[in-house]
Amino acid sequence: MDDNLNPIIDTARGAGTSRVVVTIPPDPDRLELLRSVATALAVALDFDIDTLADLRMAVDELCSIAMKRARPDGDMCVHFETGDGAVSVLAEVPVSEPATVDENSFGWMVLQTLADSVAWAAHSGGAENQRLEVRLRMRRSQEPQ
Amino acid sequence: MNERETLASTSDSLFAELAELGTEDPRRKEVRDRLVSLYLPVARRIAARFRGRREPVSDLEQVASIGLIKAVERFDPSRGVTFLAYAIPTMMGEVRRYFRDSAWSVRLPRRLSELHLALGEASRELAQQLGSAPTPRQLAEHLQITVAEVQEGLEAGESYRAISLDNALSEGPESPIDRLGDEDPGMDLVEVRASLRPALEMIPDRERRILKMRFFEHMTQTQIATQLGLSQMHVSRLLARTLRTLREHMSETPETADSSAASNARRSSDAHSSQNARKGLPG
Repeated sequence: MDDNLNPIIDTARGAGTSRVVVTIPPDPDRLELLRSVATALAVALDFDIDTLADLRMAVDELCSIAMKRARPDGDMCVHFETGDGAVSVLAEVPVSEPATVDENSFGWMVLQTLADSVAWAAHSGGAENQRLEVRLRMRRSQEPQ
Repeated sequence: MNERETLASTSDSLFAELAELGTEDPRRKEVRDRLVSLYLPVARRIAARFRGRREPVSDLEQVASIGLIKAVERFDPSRGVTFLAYAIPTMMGEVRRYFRDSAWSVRLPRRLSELHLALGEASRELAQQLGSAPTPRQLAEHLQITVAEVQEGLEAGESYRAISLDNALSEGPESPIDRLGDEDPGMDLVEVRASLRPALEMIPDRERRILKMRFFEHMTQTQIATQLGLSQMHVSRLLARTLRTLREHMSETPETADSSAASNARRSSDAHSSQNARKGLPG
């Protein structure tokens, strides 16, 4: 993991909220890095290992959905945030044509079952600034309260 | 009605039928088998999700199918969630556990594979004690290592390049769920596996694993014993018993491993194996 990520992740142990932003090319080979960041944040929040594994799969799915629609030359920006015993992940990519996410797709359905909440949004800001964002939130334990 | 709705309504009526049958009713098994067959394509898709790891997809399909069988057995329609919403995490959990418990399948540096194995054992122990999955902190305390090491060990077993389900399934205009029953050209089984498959599904996971280590990975019994934390004698006993079971099963199975039949009868062989997987479950 990048050295300069560590200090940011460390703050998650103490503070109530912390944030990590990772910018990468939309390349599936980078998913492992994203999984690791999510894992490190969730471990600091004391997620149990099953929820951790769910989170890792959900991050894969979320970021794959974004990558698949990304403009190949654009950077993907992934924001991780913790607070209130939950991890939120937002993946944002530039797209070359208005992008949508099929909520009936199997991938989205899986994402919905793994995460506590998922959402996507398309932003059109002129041809050069069209973006797609997908996000999820997962709480410490998924057991009923 | 599209295929997805057809699937949902068929499964609703089967679960309703199941609810009316008494716990000892022999027809329960038949209804459950029909439910399992109905959702088997979903299990296959879940397995395909993990393609790219070192496990053969056919093994993962079996593991996912076991998750499906568990889901069919435990699903309670009165809780108001759909069966798929319940079954998908169950199937994924099963595959996940399979990876977590099979450190041998990943070629890791010795320190990491030992750590991974220790975590597998500690997870089982703690899960039993706690009644739920442990956290990395609990695992660290139990094993007297740091939380960072636990994280490293957990990740070590999971380094794979994931393919998005969305990506894998939604090429083309139709909804991927409509195509759940399609053939997957990458999943054809070789002849030997096809003939062994129903029998393999009857034997417990650990025995199946030992069998693979010995005969597909050419490890010695001592190597297997060391890796699984058993005595060599224990491994020897388990192997002998497993081979016996396989022989008995294969001699009484009329189905042959005819290669043309195997490639033509994928669907029916899947339905068949789901029934066998049922028998392989404890209880």
